[in-house]
Amino acid sequence: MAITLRFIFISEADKPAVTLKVPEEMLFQEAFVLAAKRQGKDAGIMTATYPGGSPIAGGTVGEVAEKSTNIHVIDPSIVGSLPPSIL
Amino acid sequence: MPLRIRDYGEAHLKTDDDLFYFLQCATVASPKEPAWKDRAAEEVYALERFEEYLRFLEKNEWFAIRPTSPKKTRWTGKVVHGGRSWDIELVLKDAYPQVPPACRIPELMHYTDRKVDDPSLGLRICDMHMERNYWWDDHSSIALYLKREVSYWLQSVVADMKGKGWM
Repeated sequence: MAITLRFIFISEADKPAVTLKVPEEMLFQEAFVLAAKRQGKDAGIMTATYPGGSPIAGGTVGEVAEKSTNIHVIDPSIVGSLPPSIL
Repeated sequence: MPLRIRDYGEAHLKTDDDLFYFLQCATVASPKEPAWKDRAAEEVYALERFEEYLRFLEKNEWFAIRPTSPKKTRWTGKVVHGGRSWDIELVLKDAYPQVPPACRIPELMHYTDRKVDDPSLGLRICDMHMERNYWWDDHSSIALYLKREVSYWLQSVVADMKGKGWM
């Protein structure tokens, strides 16, 4: 059975969401890489969590979707980064 | 279009986008103002709702925190990630809620550069990007701060440490 996952890139101002329809048995990591590619990002440096901020341990898409089909994604390189110079 | 007021029943939260509107506070008051009592009560309420959400829907309570000063401007507790837990300390300054809370996870502060040296509090988690990205406003609560900042910070710092072989 196919499952629709919604990846929300919360640090993106425009086009923040990627919706993917993937088979239930697919590994979550694979789906994550697909979503990141579609967004033009490198999945290796991105962090995916459930909407409440709980980490996603891995497993299949079916297992992840049991808790939530919305996935929040952030680019950790911007977490805690200094603001751009105002000069 | 009229604003839809939605019940956050289990089925709804699983399918719809989360707005986490229930983690916002209605009162905007700083710790020195008389209305702070209301704001503090709202903070506690929002935190309880968030804990409930994590317990029943995500089944992962990754933090436990409680106020440790009578005015509820200082909070301490634990955060959990990958089977380990660390102490966390939150301080609400007088400028709160115009500025996000100051947060420290003392054991992790020296392993990352995602921090700022606060003149009065020492090293704390860097939150300068929060306002820039509209992740913080006067109505945001401690619960939202934990969700939007601490959860990601913790995960990226732990991932960094693992990548470097420090854990």
